[in-house]
Amino acid sequence: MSEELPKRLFKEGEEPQVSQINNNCRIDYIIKKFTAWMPKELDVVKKDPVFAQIFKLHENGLGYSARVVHSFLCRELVTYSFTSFGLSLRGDHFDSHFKSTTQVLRRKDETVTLFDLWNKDKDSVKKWKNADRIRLIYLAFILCVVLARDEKQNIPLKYIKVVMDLEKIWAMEAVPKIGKLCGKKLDKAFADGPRCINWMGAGKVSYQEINRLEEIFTAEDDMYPFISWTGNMDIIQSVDFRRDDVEDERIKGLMELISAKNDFTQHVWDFEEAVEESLDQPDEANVNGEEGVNDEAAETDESDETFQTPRGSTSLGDTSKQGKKRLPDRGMEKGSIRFSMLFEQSISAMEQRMEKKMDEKLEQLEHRLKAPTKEPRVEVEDGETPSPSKTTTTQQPSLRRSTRGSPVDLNFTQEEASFRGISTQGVEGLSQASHVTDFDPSQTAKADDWWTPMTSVRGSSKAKARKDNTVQPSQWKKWSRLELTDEDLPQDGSPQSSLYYFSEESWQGFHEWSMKPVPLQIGPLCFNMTVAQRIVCAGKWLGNEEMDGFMFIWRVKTTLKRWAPTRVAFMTALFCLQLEAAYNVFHPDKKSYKLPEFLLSYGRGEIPSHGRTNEVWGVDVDRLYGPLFVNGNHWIAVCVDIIERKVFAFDCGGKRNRQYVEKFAAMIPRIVKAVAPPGSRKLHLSPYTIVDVPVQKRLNKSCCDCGAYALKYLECHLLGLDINLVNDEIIQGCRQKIGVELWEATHDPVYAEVMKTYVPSPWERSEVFDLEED
Amino acid sequence: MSAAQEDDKKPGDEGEAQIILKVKAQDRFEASFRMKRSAQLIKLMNASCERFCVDFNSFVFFFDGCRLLAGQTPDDLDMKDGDEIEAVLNLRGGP
Repeated sequence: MSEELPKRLFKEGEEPQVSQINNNCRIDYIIKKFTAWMPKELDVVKKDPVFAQIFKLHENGLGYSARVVHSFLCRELVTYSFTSFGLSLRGDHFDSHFKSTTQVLRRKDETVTLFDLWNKDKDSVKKWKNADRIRLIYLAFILCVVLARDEKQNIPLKYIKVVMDLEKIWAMEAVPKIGKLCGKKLDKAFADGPRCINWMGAGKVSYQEINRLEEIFTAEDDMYPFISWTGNMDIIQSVDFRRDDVEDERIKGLMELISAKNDFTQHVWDFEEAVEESLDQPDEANVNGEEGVNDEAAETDESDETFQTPRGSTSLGDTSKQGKKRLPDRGMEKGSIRFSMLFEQSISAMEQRMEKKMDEKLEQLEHRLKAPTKEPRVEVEDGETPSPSKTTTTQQPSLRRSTRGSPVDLNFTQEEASFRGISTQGVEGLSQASHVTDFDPSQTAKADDWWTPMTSVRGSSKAKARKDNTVQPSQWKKWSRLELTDEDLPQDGSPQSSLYYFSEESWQGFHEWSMKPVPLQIGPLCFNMTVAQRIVCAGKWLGNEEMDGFMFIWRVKTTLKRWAPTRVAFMTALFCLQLEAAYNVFHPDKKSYKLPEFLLSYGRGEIPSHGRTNEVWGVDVDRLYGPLFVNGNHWIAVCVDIIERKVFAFDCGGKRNRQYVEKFAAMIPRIVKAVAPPGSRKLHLSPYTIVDVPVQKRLNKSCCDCGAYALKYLECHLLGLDINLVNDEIIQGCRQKIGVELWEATHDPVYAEVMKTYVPSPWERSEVFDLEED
Repeated sequence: MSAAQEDDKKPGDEGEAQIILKVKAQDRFEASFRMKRSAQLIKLMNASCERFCVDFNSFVFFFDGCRLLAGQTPDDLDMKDGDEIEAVLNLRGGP
């Protein structure tokens, strides 16, 4: 936590537009009051790292609006309150404090005001415990300065609760005890190591000494990682507590287990890889290796009743506290108390180092981008860097034309595109990230490096790994569930195994083909090595070609009744794009909108032309299935049920996709109505209901498998299987099965026959559009 | 292309050689366009995306295995009457 005010509280232009500055004069008034009344206690509050900011405002004569500092300080206060020490005592001791203080504060008419306290109850307040007097000063500043309330107004109970829960107060009482045990007078030169700040100064603390601290607690005491303001599990649900504002499903799951009184001794805890950071901190690293684990666990959201799954812990110790609900936490069982604040300094030092490193990297990257490009295909005449301001026309004479007749590789990858020095039709080789999806695909990889936080899962090391994750066919191995778990392989024919099972012979054939990959046509897809690698190799992202190829297979299977699903149609990625473009026209002016002819062609089953069905939506077709590309980088699966008037969205990320799916909900009923035969039952144009189908949480940890998930979700829905059968454990098997099925289809005479009888769509036009008419 | 550039080209444009190019997308979405040999291909790309009812940037355009750039002209690429340009989708999803 920074002890200095940020340079700006709000972003430029986002400052609150208040008409007047309120209450900042109250600081002066309150300080005068308390200086006369309780000077010692006031000094204590002045030293508080959070509240010191308020006093600094006053000392420097800064006329900040109390409202302006409110959100900032409250945020700091709440966070500080729950994370700074990471340790608390709870029990009768604390409750009695709360009761006694509120009883003293509360008057007969059930109102409590500061004004009454310092005028009428001056003497009785002085008889309070020191901690309670300090609490009162905190309360006064929170109310009168931070919240800008008048001192004559009633003090709401919730604010009294806040100050009662400030563990700083507890710390004030406990720290002398701690300090006596392990505190040492702080050497002024000592700056980088862990410190324990107490009311009398600061003491250097070692990890071993922290461990020893546990001995001072009696059997009646319960230890929690932080103080709850409610005394129950509510705190972990508090948005204020989690700075990242992300709801963690694992906590929910744990809470459910706890309320069900689950026996955690046999519980297998989730394992999540921590981000590895190589930092030159030999001293701290060597202090106590165990503490590293505990500290890591301390960062997870935990409650006073619940301990979050310890990252990386797989075994649990004995939980032996009697009579109290004590939850398994490896760090605690091993006698370690987590003081997150103790690491604050080292973390801030780490941040500084990382910032410095990032700056250096950015500089290097900038230099590299500014340097003359030496792309094999594009030769820049004068060695200047292509830039958005400079149109490509200046480079035209130097562009070499490729040899005629070279095959068009429709399955190029972004990496290849970057290599060729090519980019979108609009711009190319932008020196800075465009932030516009697909605007400059050559930037895709760079953008990851530039903008992904170094601490995130998709950090630079992983991003680099992704570039090199292509496994050569010679190293391809058939995925086997047995390699991953000790469970028995489900019998063939079990619902889940049907999602990933393929025969050894099929794999052999596919593998042999991959050694000598001759491009094969299957519907719209040219199944070549690039496509095969994208599908089979873990870490590769699936493309629209293979999605469409699979839709073609299902389309033919349905038409030829080679599987159970009937009265279903399969859409392409292009259809989704076209529908979106049409929806963008439709949305602003719904009344005068006329459906374009090509959408009606889809409705009549004339397109997609590969595997053309000629089946009319709503007449011969009840459900539409298709992959939907969202957010510029993610596949989800969509099923439109025309009969039930519902649009189902299946997203392995578990996100809501209303914004992407509403085009289906709005447009499909119009198409269905437009293609319905005359005299058919009355059809409504109202939008379909959108259903975000719930899936398992925390899927697709590889961040590469959404395409496979989308296909398998569709398959599950088509075959009436539970979509939760698809998970990270089997997804690699699923990917291989997708690849093998596509390869097998290329050899299937049935598909060959369908392709032979391909009927072109009515969208081949002989007319010529003149672009020079304008 | 900026308005200024367009203005520059107008004088003396009359009688300039024109070319007919065919753009093909999947599902046989096809369209033929007549344009000047010296005009930038961005015009054709825009018109194609409009004809195929998709947003600009949805497609990437290829000619003879080379990706087309907006600023190129048929002259630059030595295109001939009736040449075909492939418009392909390039959607990659993973996370």
